Amino acid sequence: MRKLNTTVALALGALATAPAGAQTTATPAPAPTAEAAAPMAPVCELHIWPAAKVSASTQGAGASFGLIGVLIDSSAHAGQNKRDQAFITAALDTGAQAKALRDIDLVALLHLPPSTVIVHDQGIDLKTDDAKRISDSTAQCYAEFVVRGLSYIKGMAYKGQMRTFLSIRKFDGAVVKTDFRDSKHDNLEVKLPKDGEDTGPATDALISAFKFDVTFFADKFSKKKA
Amino acid sequence: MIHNSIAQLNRVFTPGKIEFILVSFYRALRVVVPIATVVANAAVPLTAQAQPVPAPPAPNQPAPAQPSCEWHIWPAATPHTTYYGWFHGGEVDGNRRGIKGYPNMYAEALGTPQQASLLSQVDWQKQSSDPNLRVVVHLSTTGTDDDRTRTTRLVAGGGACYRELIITSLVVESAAMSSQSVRVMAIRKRFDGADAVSVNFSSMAMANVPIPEKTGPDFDDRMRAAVQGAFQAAIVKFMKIQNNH
Repeated sequence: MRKLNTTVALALGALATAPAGAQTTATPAPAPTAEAAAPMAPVCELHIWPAAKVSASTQGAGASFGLIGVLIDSSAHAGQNKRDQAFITAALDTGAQAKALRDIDLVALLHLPPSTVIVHDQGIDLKTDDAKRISDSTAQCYAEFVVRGLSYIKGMAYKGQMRTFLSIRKFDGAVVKTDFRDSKHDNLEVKLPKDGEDTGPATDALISAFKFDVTFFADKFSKKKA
Repeated sequence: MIHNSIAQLNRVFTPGKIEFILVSFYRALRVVVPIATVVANAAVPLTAQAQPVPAPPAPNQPAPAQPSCEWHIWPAATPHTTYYGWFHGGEVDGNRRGIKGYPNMYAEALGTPQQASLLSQVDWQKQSSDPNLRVVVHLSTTGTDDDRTRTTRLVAGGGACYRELIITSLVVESAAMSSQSVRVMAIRKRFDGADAVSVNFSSMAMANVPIPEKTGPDFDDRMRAAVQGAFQAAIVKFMKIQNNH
């Protein structure tokens, strides 16, 4: 499985000089091959997986009229739900989630020992009865933080809510020592954008809600553990 | 006896048949809803449907000469796919994870190199109405995670009129009750003047994928071409949107 290396600086594409009116393609400069000697890395590892499931549902009045009403309502909002699902997926993609988790210092929030953070770029379905490690890491001190899903719901009577489903598993060798799963929702103060509208405020709101949910989850986990 | 009846029902109403019934119902809705809309619109007073009269064209005056602009364009990373089906509650990248029943949306046709190639085919001079426009399409992503908040140019130098178009995300999307489409999320950063702070605009644009006839051995190729065409159409839409901001 590919991992995102968060420490290697990416080289910028070199600018090709071209006359006015021309359309050129810039070739990226070669990546740096040598790195300065780094301090010794922590022995513990924290692996992070982004959300594999993102759902968005806007409900109208039809949702109150049984199965037929739900079907009509789903049909009426199909395009909007598809758009919202794609927008949340993009706004909270692997890079955005990794940045948000760095900002709130997830390792410290979870009261983990100093750890090397490895962010996987593809979501994963975490089975309830699977006690094995998801990654192939053999580190003795090892933890997994999985964003199991993101769910956006908006009804007629209330603003949009984003719920984040999270889990943390701590291993001692090959044995699961702690397995904690929970979810938390946060109300969004802004509407998700339509095509052509400014996506900035909604992007900020989603990231803020994600940080809030993760922080709440980590606090709950820490209190439960204490 | 009850067990026998349930077993019989299970044999008759398999998941495939239930999906068929739901899809048939949805197709029926697609016929009924437009008719209902036409009937509803007929009831609206004519004055409410009146379109604004366009302003008369400006006198034909020669436009002042403006310095040509420089656009730098970056593709997105690997595209995501999203699907919301009858039995799939909002899966992301299910094709890469081998989710059963997840549709093939031909997103591999929009890898970063393919995006760069497709972007280099767009008639940017026409889109910006600037025949002297200089465009540089970069082969890889910007590699930064703060493109929206960044206030400086990513490429040093350049003229006073300098623009960046960064495709931040690309999603090929589909749902049980909606057609397949390509959605582009992008940021336009406008720097007017050598030391000017950028004027940002971030938004999204979408274009439907016209599904070709499912016959012939070259269906996959035509499907990839359709996905790539939708990507270019979405980019053109975004360019039109950003012109107003």
